[in-house]
Amino acid sequence: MLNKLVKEIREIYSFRHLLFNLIKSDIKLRYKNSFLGFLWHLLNPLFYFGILALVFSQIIRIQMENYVLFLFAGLVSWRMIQQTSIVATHSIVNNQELIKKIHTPKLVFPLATVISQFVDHLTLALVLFAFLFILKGKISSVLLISPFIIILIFFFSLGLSLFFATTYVYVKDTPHVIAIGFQALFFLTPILYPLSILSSRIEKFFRLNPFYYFIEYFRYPFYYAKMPSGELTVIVCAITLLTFCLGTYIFFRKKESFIFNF
Amino acid sequence: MDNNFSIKTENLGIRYFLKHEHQKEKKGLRLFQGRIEKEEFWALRNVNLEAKKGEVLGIIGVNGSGKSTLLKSLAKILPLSEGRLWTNGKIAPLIELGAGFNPELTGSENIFLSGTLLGLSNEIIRNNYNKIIDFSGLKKFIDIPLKNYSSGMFIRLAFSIVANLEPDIVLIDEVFAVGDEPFQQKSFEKILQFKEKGSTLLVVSHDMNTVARLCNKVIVLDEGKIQFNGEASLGIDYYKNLLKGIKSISEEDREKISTGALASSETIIKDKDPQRWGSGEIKITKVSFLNEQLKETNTFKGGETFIARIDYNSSEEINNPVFGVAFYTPYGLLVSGPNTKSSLSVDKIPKSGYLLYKVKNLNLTRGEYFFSAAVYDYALKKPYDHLERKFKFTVFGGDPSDFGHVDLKGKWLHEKND
Repeated sequence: MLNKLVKEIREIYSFRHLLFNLIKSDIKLRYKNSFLGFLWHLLNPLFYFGILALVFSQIIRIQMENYVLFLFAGLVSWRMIQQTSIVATHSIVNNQELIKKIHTPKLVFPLATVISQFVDHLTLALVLFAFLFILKGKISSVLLISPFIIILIFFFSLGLSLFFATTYVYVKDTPHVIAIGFQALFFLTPILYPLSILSSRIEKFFRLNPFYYFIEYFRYPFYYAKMPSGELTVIVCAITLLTFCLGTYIFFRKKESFIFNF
Repeated sequence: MDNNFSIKTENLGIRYFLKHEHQKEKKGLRLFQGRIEKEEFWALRNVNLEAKKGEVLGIIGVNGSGKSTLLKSLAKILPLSEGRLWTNGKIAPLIELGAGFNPELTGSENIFLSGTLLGLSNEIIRNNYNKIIDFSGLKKFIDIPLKNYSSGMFIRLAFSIVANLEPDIVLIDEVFAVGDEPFQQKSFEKILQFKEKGSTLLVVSHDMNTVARLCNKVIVLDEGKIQFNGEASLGIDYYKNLLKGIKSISEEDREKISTGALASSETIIKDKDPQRWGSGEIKITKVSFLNEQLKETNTFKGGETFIARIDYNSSEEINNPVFGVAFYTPYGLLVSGPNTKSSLSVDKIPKSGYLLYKVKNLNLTRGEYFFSAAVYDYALKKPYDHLERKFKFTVFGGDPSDFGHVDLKGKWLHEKND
């Protein structure tokens, strides 16, 4: 078992140049032939964030301190998970022609997609950092832990992506289900509103949602400007580890028979 | 285990599950479709083979016998359902050319992408980059996206990448059938170079002449099992006998396969044909090949007498027409193209007659040859009738390790320097 794992890792390492080329071409092609190119990936979510901020702060009038920053931090972290998983769900099926014709470690495809998505997310996080100054948020040394949090979100998203990409090979309805699921979760996760506005009876159920912990955790450096509690850290690390291991396990269990199921 | 092998398998087996969907149940939601029946199907079973370094192994068999499945499992594309596989060296699959290409990327970017898909580093590709571009002849187009390439350019680039990255083991699946004739010639030569350099080649082909020319050893597959494993010429004979036993193949097809000639000498010459042109005052009505005993045949032994007989009809009295024939290799190389202009004056020709072109010793090496016959005016300007490579014959015998198409009957001498 361990022997097999070492072999897998060594093979993926020997294909690292492929991973690099896949990421490079993915990023290049996403913004090719458009006038604003790379800017679109910032303008698009920012425009969407702006609309939400306008609606919820001016029309619905959620009352809380620096609501716009609260919202932005929530949206950026949500987007890291949701956008990555939705795009990476297709990473195996979209590459089926390749998988049928050339031997490559199959992990490179979801991995390349997730990494290239995170390149976008990281620039968005930098914009959020800029907003901290514009919206006069609290700048504190807690910001230094944000890379750690992003790494956790990365592995959580990778685990989800591997699971979804595997499922999609066998069940062609997967992307539809995921799209609806994320839409529902967007409103059921405290992104647009704080958990505190809910009645304590409902709040209990909302705390069962694993996404909540990532969103909340991400707000510590960018919104609350204080260190997250040890309890929260443990919960987030545990969810990440569990999701990543489960996703990877299922992927490796099934990857050899992908070719028979396209 | 000794290190002399390139590929080795032990009881290799590939199993598919065939999913039968019943026609009636196809409508409606899949959820309510009822169960899909799965049937086990072994595409390959108990395959034991070994290719030593530098060996050229041919894999032959009828359609559906498991040849491509075998190549795909050796390339590690298909997982083994049972058995074991060892490989020793870098494998280059020439199974489907250009599989890793992204049409949106430029030729240059695709070189790196598909090179790394083979598991190579960017550095190795960079070192071979100029060689790849030179071989492909696409220097001018290397910075434009692949979607603007013609299909021929696409294939040329794909082949050039694999061919110039110096693989240890090359898996070839009928790739001779791609590209135009000059490129086919070029790629065939490249494959011969692999052989000379000591790469191990595994070749799947239906063309027995290719197999005979390239391979040292042959595996005959039938229904997923190895039926024969041994010397190439014996394997080809075994395969031909196997074909004779298959009832589904018509008598005519069997003849074609076993003689290797698609257009036999008895081919009825049609008037409308892209391989035929001319004004028609003289018409070639029949072309046949005869042996020493003047019997019609399509197969000749190297060194034997070869006679081509060209029958014609003429509607007008024509002065001094020139008859000519030509011998071509399957890759379009003109081996010889003699005509009657200086060697035989035909004067006024009768309403019908025939010409013979006799070769006392047919010094062609083993393989297939295409044959053209034509009749022109004396200036060789106006074709009365021209039949371009409409005919085929096969030459057998000779030493399979010799290269080229003509046996010059030279003698080797070896002496010691004092």
